[in-house]
Amino acid sequence: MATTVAISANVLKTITEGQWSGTGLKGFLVGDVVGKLPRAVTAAWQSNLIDTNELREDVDQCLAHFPGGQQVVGVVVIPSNAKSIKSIQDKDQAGIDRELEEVLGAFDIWLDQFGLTEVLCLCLWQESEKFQSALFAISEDEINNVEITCDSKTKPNIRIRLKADIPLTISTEANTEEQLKAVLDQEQVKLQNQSGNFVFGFFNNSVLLHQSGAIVGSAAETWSSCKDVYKHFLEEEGSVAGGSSKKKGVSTSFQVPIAASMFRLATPDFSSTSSQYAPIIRHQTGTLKTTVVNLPLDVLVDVEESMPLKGLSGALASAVFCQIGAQFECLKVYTQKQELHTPEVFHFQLPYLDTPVTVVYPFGTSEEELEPERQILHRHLCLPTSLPVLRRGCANHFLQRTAPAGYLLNTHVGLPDPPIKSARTCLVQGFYSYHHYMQDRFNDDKWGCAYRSLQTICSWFKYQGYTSRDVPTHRDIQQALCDIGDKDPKFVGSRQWIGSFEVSFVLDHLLQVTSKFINVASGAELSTVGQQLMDHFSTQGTPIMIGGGVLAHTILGVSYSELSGDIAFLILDPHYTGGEDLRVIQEKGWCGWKDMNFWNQSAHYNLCLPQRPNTSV
Amino acid sequence: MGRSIIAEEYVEKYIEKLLKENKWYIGVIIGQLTNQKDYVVHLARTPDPVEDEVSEENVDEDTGDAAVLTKKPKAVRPASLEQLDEKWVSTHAKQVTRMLPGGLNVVGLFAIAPPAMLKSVQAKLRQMLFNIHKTLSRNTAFIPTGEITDRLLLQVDTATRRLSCVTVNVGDINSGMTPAEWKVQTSGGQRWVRLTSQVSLDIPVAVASDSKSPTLLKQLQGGLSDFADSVGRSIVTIDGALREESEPLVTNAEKKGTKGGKGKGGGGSSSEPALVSKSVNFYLPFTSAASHSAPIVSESQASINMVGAIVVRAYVSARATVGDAIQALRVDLLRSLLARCELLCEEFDVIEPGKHGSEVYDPPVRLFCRLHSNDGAAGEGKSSATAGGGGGVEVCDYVFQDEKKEEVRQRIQELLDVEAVTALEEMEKSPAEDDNWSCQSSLSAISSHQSLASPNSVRESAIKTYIGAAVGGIVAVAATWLSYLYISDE
Repeated sequence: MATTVAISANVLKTITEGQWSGTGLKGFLVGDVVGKLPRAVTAAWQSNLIDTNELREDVDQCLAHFPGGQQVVGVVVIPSNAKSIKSIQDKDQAGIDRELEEVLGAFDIWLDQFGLTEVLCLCLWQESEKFQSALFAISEDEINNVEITCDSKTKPNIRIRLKADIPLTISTEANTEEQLKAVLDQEQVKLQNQSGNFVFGFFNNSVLLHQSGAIVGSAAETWSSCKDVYKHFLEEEGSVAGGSSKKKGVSTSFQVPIAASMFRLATPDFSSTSSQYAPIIRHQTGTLKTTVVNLPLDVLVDVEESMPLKGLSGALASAVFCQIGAQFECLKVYTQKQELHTPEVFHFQLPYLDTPVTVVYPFGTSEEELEPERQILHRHLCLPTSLPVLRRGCANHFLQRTAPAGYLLNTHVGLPDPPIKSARTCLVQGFYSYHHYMQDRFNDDKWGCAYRSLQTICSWFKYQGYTSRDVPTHRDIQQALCDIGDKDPKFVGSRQWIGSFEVSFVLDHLLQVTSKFINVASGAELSTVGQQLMDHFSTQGTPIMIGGGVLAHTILGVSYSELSGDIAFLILDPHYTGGEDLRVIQEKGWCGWKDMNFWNQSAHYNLCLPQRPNTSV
Repeated sequence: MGRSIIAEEYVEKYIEKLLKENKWYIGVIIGQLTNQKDYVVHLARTPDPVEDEVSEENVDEDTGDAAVLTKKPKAVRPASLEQLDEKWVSTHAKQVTRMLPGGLNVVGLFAIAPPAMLKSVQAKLRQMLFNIHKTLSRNTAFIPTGEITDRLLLQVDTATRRLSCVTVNVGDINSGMTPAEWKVQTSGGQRWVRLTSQVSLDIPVAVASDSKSPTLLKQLQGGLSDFADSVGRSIVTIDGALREESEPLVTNAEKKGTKGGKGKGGGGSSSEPALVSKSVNFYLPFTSAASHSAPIVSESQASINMVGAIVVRAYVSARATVGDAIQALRVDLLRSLLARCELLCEEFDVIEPGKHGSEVYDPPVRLFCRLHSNDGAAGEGKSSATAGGGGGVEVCDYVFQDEKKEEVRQRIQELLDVEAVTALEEMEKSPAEDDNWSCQSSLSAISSHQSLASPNSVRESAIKTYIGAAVGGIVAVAATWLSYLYISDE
């Protein structure tokens, strides 16, 4: 009987393009579980699993990087020799059994450790410079082939984001790193021992969820599964948004996570006989160094609608447990000169994996300092080693509708598909914010459109981690043009227009980003650039600034049919002067698909295509 | 309109009893002030001041308790109210407050005296209400206080046996005396709702090197005020339910249930109203009041950690709201913690300046007993209809491990002026009861870099400074038979 497991082509590609070396057990598969059976693989975690006795720690360390609800569903094995590879290629069951038994030993250990009735095993071997893969399912007494369904995994229905602050007061007598770490270890044990009493609050703490699955709160009396939680969430959201169902229609494609908080049930179980003692006071005097540091928990949990409440509380509890471990690890690793760094949590949504990734970085360190850490993480997650996808600037945008300063993010999400038949569509990759006239309490109506388009491009480079520089203001942009000698000093503070060349100069000067250009003599000629734009969006994925006549726009995507030559452009229009209302922006076409008629057929157009800089992770 | 006060029938009996002695008396009124009505459950006369001829030199440090038992305190009763030391009453009020569960407070003073004596001390009595308020609120800023700042002053004239009650707003120093209505509840007593809980806590306190708090008590208070902030933001469930603060605590359905079950009126003990008891859970928040991104590093002279679980109890009137109940519980939690710290620090001279090292102290543990036992709490004969007035309201006390139960009983009798103390309910376990307490699981969380004092050394320290160096001076004016009770908290 073959097991069916979903792995998207994307994830499989990511895994097989990872840097695997050596042979034997080389990592975990992370994914969804239904019942006790793996159902989908959403990521792999490369790790040298040397000692199976410490497997639990390895699993916790791995899972701390994924939302609660994700579990280790299997292992990655690199066969030891050509013979084993041949057995796999030839589907020689006896040979496969032999190889996996040799690598894994007794299967039940793995089933126990992962709490599953079936554990996946992905075998990878190199063939003409590329990794090939085969997936097996191991149960107690046999190894089955696995049928892989490539259909994109049904996205988790419900996402919860728990935030909590755990204050730590750490006093040490001797000023040594060892002692500091010893105290941190004790604090960690103390906290993790308490974690059984953690209780989760929802909806401004009007509903409390115990780890037993018991739920408290008048709204929640009849709740049994996550679906009820979600339903309540939508009702509350609806009433906040003004209750119009029309409004909801636009935002269905994006859902902010359900916020959760955490409490400690301080009242011990009355019935338990192991009641605690009355308080004692421990008093130590001396010359002590005291550090008060906050552990800012920020935990994501992705669960199915059908999950019972007990499953939800379990997923929350184990995610919290894992992240507490990760934060202490961060504290210990980045203890320098006996100084602690507050851990900071970042969530990333990467195009390479089917699940968000969570990383804890120490506050107050530079991106350069963290590069070694990112290198390791990229390797663990099989991510390309040349893209800065785990920098702090890339984090958390997928959890919000707006950037911190209030700019709308990715305003095109939720738009209807472009009306071109049998077309391929390529869009901007990652996140940008919408910059337009009149923002920042700055009146640039009639002259600032290219500046705004440039700002959107700069936001893209910031949110993709290429720069930690803030989006430049009009004045910053003018100053940059003045600094490079393109403009006179009197240009700074003026209301003069800029065009696509100035845009590229500023990108080069401020962000070290070079640009390519496409020039067309008339708007009508834009119908011929379809393939070039497709190539741009699929390889570079940056927003394009287009200037023609007196107008500047941002192109976020293109839909192009090679067959008919029909083309549509996804336009973000900087001439919008209204407020940050996504519904207006989408319905009135300030962000939307435009056909050839959008362009001034006789005007000359220049397109500035920013190129991703070569950079490390 | 003045305040409307309802007194338990027990209170009337108590006044009658004191009147028979034909002497002057002063004491505290114990009850609950609410926006609708004020409830008085008990009066306790202030014990006579004593002059204790114990000087510091006479106390043998090792057998301090023996000394205290053998010496003969001499009661010194001033000839009249005018000569009474005001501080004496304030100290009594503070001692009594420690013995009250949440919801109950010292809400005023009573005075029984001949008319001329009363007349001459009107200003003094008013001033005493202010003094008590000041004493009770000193160092307790972190304990939430009610909005009601009116305090009762009940006066009984021994000649005419006439009773008059006024209130004084202690929140306004210009406040005059406002007449109030004093009524005695005759039909079966007030119905109280008992709220019970336990809270386990782990409070870290770092004492900054430049701290201005010289005593352990001050340092502990600093830590408690941070904890109080967390308690203030805690979520409280009552009988497992999260309820709106404005809701009545006892629902109509519950009220009907008890009435139906009990029947109406009737004599004897069956007239005692059923005590509604509710169990409460505390959920402490994980949110920091001060959000900071970088750690705060400082030098400290001491690190203190209070770890353990305490029993929390509160009583509110059956008409109280959920919010009233939660407030009473929060007060009890913090008041009980502070009381332990105060008693510990009064007991031991814990800080030896310049000494480096670590020490573990076991503060006294809490125990409860009923304020009025069923058989003739009013002392004078048994009154069939009023037995058990107060609906089973409890009081508490704190006991050190080397104190005998009898001492606790005597103390409760003395301070609350009750005749018999029924069974003491010991809800809390002292860690010292366990031979291996230093390695018990509840304590295992303690950071090991601080070596635990061995149980033996703790016991020693508990005994050696029993009387406490605070009984300073050549001739100490101490209180009754237990000196620490009346150590002035100035």
